Amino acid sequence: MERLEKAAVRPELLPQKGPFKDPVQAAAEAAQKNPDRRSFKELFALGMKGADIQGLAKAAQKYEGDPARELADIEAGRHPLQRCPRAH
Amino acid sequence: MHLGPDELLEQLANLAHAERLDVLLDRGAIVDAIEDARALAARHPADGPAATLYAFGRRAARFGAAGRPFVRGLLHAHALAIGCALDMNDVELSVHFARMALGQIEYLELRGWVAARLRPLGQKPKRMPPKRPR
Repeated sequence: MERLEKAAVRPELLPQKGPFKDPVQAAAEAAQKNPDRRSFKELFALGMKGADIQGLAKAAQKYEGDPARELADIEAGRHPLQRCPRAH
Repeated sequence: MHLGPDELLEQLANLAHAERLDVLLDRGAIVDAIEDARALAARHPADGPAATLYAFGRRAARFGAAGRPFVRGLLHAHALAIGCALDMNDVELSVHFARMALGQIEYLELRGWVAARLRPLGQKPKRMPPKRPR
C-alpha cells in the first residue's frame, strides 16, 4: 500500500509492463534472426500444434496407392479426419 | 529456412518415435525433396512454404505413415519461419496430398492455394462468411 502511495509520486515504482509478444511470433522472429537447428525444432513443434497426427497417419496408411478413393471419401464425408472434430 | 537432410531425418525419426508411427527413413527422398523445394523457391523466399509442400508432399508416401504428419509440421514451420501463420485444416491438406499423388495439381496452383492461406503473424484470422442454408 505504502509502495502504491509512493508510486503516485514516483511513476518508476509502478510495475513496468513490457510489450506483449505472442510466443509464436517470438519464435518466428527468433528463427528469422538465427535459423539454427534449435529454432527449427521449436518451429516444427509449433507447426504440429492442433494437428491430428494419428488421423493424418491413418489416412496415409488407408489410402496408400489409392488417392482417388481418398478424394471420393472426402467428398462423401467418410474420411478418417472428417470424423475427428479437431480437423474442422 | 535452409536445413540439411540429417536435421530433417532426425525430426522425422523423433516424430515417428513420439507418436509411435510406422516410418521409412528414406534419405534419398529427403535429399531430392530439399533440392526441388530450393529450386522452386529460389527466386522468391516467400514461396518457401508452398515449395516445401509440393516437394515433400509428392514424396510423403516414401516416409511411411509418418510422412503426412511430418510434411504438415514442416509446412507450418516454414510458414512461421517467414513470419506467417497458415490458416488451413488437415482435411484440406489431405485433398492436396491425394491430388498430388494423382498428379492433378501443378506447383503454380498449389502456390496460389498456399499464398491465399498465409497470414502475417499478429493479424487475426479472416472470418469465413457463414454458409448459406441449403
